Amino acid sequence: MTGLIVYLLLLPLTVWLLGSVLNLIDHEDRAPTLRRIVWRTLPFLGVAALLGSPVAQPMLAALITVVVLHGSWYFGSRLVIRRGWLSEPGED
Amino acid sequence: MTQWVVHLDQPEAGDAAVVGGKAAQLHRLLVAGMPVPEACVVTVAAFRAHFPATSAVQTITAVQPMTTGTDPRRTPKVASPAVKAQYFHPELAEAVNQAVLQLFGADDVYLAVRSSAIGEDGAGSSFAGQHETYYHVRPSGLAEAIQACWASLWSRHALSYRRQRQAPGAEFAMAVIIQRMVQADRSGVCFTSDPTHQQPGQAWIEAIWGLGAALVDGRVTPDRLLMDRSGRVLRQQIGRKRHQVAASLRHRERDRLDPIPTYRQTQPVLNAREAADILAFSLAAERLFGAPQDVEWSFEGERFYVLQSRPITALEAPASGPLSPTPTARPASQRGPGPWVLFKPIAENFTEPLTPMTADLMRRMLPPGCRFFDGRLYLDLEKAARACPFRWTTEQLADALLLRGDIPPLTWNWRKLPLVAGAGIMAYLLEGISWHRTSRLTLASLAQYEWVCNRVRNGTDYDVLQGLHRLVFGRHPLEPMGRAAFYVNVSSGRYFVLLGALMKLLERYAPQFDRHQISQLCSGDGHTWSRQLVEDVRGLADVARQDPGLARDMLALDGSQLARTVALLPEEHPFAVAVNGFLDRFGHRCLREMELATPRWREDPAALLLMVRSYLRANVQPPEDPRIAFERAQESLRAALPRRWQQRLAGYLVERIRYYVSLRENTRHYHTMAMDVTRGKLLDLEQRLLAESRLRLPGDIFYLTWQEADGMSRGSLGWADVAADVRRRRRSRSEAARSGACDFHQPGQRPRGRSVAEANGALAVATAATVLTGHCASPGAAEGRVRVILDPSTAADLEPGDVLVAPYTDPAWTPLFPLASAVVVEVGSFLSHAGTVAREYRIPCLVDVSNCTSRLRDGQRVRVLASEGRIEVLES
Repeated sequence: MTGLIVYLLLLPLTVWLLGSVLNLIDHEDRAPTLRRIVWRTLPFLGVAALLGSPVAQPMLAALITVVVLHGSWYFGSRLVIRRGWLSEPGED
Repeated sequence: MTQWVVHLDQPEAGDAAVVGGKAAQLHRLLVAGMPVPEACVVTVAAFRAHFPATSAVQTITAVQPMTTGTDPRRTPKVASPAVKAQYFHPELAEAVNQAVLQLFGADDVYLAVRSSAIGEDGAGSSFAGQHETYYHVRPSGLAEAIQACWASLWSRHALSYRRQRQAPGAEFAMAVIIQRMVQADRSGVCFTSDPTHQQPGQAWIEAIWGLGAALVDGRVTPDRLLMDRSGRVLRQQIGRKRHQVAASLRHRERDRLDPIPTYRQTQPVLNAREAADILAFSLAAERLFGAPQDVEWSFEGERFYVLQSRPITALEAPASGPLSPTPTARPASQRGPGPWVLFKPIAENFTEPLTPMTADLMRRMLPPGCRFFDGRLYLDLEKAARACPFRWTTEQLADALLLRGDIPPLTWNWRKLPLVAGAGIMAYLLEGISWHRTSRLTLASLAQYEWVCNRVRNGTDYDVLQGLHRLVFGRHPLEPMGRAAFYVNVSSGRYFVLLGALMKLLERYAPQFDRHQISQLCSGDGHTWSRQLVEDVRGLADVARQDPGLARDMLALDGSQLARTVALLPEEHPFAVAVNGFLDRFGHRCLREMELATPRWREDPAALLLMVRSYLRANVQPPEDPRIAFERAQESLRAALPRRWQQRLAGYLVERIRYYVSLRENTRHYHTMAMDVTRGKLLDLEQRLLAESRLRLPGDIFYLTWQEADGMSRGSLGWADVAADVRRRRRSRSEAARSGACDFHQPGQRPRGRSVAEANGALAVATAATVLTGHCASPGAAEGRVRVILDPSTAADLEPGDVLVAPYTDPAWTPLFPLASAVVVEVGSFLSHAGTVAREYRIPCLVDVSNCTSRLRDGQRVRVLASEGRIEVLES
């Protein structure tokens, strides 16, 4: 149960953290970006310190979930649009 | 024997059953003393002798069950080749030769051969462009031309049109008019009543150089004159007439376009006296036929001719009243997507109908629920209603999307809330990473988009569609966000939510705070490409001023002449250097930049040079540094909010709003590069197709769909497969541009907009004490003289202090803003470009002022009370 709660709590925080990490490839100012990453890692470290090693699995699960969701959404939505599966008729 | 050929002045030519609708109308015009060119008519009896009624009826009956719906492509190609091969009766050939000899006295004349089908040019159906016309036909070629005219009765579009517009069993026959070829050097049409219902009691004249075919086919942007019925010109809009169908005998094909010399492109075709004469003839035709007419006319030298007159069939009132059938009210059998509603907040990008190619490519990038009708983008109201989290009726939602009236109360629909919350959380999990990645992008990271554009432009591995996909969606999620300018642009629209939060905060804790200062707080951080564009145009004017000869020329010449003059400057001339530098940065910009058919400033800098001219004339000083105004407003904000946390929260919101406003403006600079690259690739494809003779004329590619263009490129389609579609689409786009956007569309039903009564009331020309209303996009008040500018590429002379009145604005209009004391725009919203830039320059701006370009006139003195959403006319 704790694992599930941790998993659900960490999902949005993982999005938040990954957004910052990927900022590193967006050519933003390095120093503030790194500072943000550190700050955004703190909730994870806090949860780990509070609950001990059992949260490692939910953390990893949250990370994998977010990466898979984001990636599948990115590629899936573009594929749907590229193939025109949902687009409306071409001429009126 | 029944008469097979009659002269137009014979009494028999007045009978539509004998000579078809068009010839009968011409006969009446001729008898009434109108200057109609000499003509004879091959009668319906001759047609019947060649096509016995039974076979014709059988053909059409056989075709009808297959022509389902309104899509002409579903109509199979039938009969035409067979019809062409029919035997041409020698007696008819003899009769035609005799009539031509008798009428024209020689057999070396040039003739026009035109259809006159039963029912053609009637009150219910015009058959405009459905049947063929042949120009410059020699008497020896008449038999072939007549057969081809007859054959056009069976063309798939004519059959489809006939099926939609005519009652079953309507007569199926055609007479053919043989007319002296008028060597027209000027042509056009006159509508004795506005076919769009927007200016009741007023007439339109459209005029071009050369033969009228270019106008009818929508190949040339004509001069448009709005006139009252006494013959007074109320408004004249000069089109850039780049081409003409020359009356020269070198060209026999109807759509052979010749370029028009630059100096002549923006010259008016008609003077006021000629326009009044044309209207007088047209009104005489209206009296003769008892209904508003659409009259085709030509000038051959100074001689005036009426070529055709027909009732204005488009004069059907748009359906009025509120949006009645909610989706659930329709019978289940009729349910489908829609109704579709025009989405006003993005209407400024689509004020003129998009060409079929642009609309088709964009459609492929859009999510479901969006659809183009007549080249304009609509949203599925049913889908939008399902997604709306507030307790709004469908009518209220439609009004909100159309920006009509105040936004209804934002009362949550609690039943939908779990669904909306779930969707929000899911959206965050799916897209949140990208949202975070767009929250702190720098200008340098956005500049990477240029690299993507160059990669697509130069990459042979991208065709047009693949290139556009790459430019819009990127390649993979680990690419820098700066390479997804479209995504960043859309996501930066979230500043509107933050702005709402700031307003709520101020409403609650600082109700005394001056609302005018909010626009100064939120007008972007000053580092925008739009501002740079204005500064660079001002810089160009400064450089031009240093060369008195050039400055004199710039003040005297029109846009096309200016472009030519600048092109002839030596490369090392300071102005040429400055212009080239400007075009390196902004050459991909233009008016209507989302339209792929629009030439970019790099290709045609006329509009840009006209704006430079305005600065040259006005010697406009740079505005106050926006940072000073911002700091003042920030001080006031801090003073107005008593608590520290309130100040910090407001400060955070202001910083974020300014960032997103700038980001939105800046990404627009980049994603217009994508349109430029796509246009370039399309033009390359067009060049290849033209060289291989698979396309006939430059510009036609924009009237194909991508599938057709791709098919032609692969060799599976030829010109013959698409020629009729291209012609039809040109014509319908021209009509759609004339009629304006309707608020609603429902497939299979007439488009719907405001009622005629409403429109009539709203469209009287504004006189003293008239008040026009709109939505405030930038607060403040100003007084000045009205300057209506419909197209800055042909007229952009704005004096400092004028009130700029425009149909829409996009970034290419930006340089005009600093000259204006206020801006009034027909479409748009708070989010639109006009508002964003006006706030940055602290100019009062009103958007969504219905028909302001028609109701306000140049020179009228007005007071713009933007904060109150009003314009008061002070002097007529």
